[in-house]
Amino acid sequence: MGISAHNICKSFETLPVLKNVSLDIEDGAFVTLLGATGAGKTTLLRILCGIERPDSGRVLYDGTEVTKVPVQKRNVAMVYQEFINYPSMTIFENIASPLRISKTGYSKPEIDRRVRQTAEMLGLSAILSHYPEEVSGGQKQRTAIARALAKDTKFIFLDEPLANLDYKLREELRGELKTILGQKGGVVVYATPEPVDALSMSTHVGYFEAGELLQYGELEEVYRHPRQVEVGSYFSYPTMNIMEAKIVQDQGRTHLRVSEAISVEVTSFADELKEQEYLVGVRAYNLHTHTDRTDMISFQATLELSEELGSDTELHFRHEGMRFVMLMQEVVRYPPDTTVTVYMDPKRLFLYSKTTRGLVLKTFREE
Amino acid sequence: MSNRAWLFLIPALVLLSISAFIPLMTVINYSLHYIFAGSAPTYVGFENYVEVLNDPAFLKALGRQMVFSLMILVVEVPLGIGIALAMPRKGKGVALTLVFLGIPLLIPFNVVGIIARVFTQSSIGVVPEFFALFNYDYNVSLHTTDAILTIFFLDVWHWTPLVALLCYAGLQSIPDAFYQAAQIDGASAWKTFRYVTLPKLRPVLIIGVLLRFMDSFKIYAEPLLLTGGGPGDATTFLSLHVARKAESYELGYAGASSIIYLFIVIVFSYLFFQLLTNIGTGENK
Repeated sequence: MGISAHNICKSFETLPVLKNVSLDIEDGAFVTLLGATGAGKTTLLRILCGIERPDSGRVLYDGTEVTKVPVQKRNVAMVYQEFINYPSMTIFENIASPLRISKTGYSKPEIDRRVRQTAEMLGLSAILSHYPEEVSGGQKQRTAIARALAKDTKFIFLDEPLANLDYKLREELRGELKTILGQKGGVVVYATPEPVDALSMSTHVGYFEAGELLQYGELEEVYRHPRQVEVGSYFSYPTMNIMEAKIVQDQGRTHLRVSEAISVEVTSFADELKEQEYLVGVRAYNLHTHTDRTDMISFQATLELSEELGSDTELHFRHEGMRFVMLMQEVVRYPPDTTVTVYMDPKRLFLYSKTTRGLVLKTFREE
Repeated sequence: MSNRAWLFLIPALVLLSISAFIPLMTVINYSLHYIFAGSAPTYVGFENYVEVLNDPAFLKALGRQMVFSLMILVVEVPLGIGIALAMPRKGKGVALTLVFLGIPLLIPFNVVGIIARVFTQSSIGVVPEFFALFNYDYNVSLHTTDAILTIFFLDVWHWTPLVALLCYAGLQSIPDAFYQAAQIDGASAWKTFRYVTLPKLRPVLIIGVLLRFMDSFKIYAEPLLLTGGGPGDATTFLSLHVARKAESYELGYAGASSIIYLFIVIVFSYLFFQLLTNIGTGENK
């Protein structure tokens, strides 16, 4: 049940944008399709909802094939990045429009009830008699979302709905969307380039890169166990630090050597490490500037940039040609070009194969 | 405003006064006097205005003008929208269509008039020849309908491309998502046009309607060159009537009718503007 996509391929002219993508979305799932611009997430979203047809492959709703069913016959709802409303209708009429057109034939009081109920949920009650031009961007997008919600549909698609909103409205709506869409049940598919959207709202995440679905699964699973180095690097805020490392044997011990200073002992994992070179990933918050622990790996790095984000600080370092980013949950101030000792937690590393770019092991177990 | 700012405004003010302010003042001055060539002007107050407004020739020209301009709007605006909708939105066809539509706009009024005259000349013109095939005696200098419809057709040919180009530009600026959203809602082609395309085209349509109204209200060269305002006075539109009076040295009458003319254009343009701006917004709930 829910939505299934089998072997979806799609090209625009000669450029392939989706390469054999398959996924199964269960009922009740809030799926975020994550990926950079041009990765194929929006195209898949449009194919799933029926605006676009795949070159090959099948789409099923609740087990019934709908690949060739045009979008207007599918009973789906969609919210766009642009604030899409009917300009000559009031907010009320806008929310009511899909109900009026619907073949279900809603009675007048029923339409009225549904519109008011949805408007209430999205905080639009006071502006129902206004026109879209007269309200703010946030309210326009709320109206578009209300239109999608008022419609009696199981499948809701959202294409970067928060992208054109300013920060505060985005935060606000993000919180509300999770609650409102969660209550509604059905299936929600949400395309976004923002890892934060995925982390804060969804139950499932699919990560796209260059037209391929690199990983799809439950939110926690994908976040904690990113199967490809690209997934780990992208689906992390700020981005995961990736270093190249070589296996070095020294007096019966196995080390992963990144640089003179950064060398991690991996003797206990030696059996699993068959290759000579690996990519080592460490999340920004697993780097520190001070520590009480004795097993930390320390190295000297030059500060390039320090960004204060309210109560957090993002520090950007350079160490032997490699760039690092560290996230600290405090406000620290360093003058530029300071040399800082960075501590890296050896028990918080992701090891990826350099050839397949797949996850080989993690140096830790989830608590 | 500092003195230096005025300094920079002077060229614009000088130009504006030469091109608009001084002529307008002169016309107002004329309209309040009885002037005949050579004689000294006598101040007559609003007498000229009274005369103009009671002149059957003026009123007939005005009525003719109103009907003509409304016909122009009724035909050119929907036709322009239709052409714009039918135009290709991408590919090589775009440039071709744009050039094709642009050609009539490049031709000056008087040239259009002369072309029309050659085409409709009873002995040599291609148009009478064509109608002769259907045993119809087409003659602009004899038949009122022929003259009016020919001028009407000329204007439609000459200026519909302007409306089409404006609408085309307007259509290009509507994001695809609007159409998709309507499609997802299950809206029919007509409803999509009515609730997405038309409201989104409103700003360019306002400009298109105003331009076409004002320009068609000023139509002059075409009737003058085609039939000289005839047969009889059948194509003597308002500007032709006013110009005739000025040419016959009735400067007071010409001045007064010019001012009334200007007033009518402003009032109607304002009405159209208000009407189009407020349709479907909070103003006329």
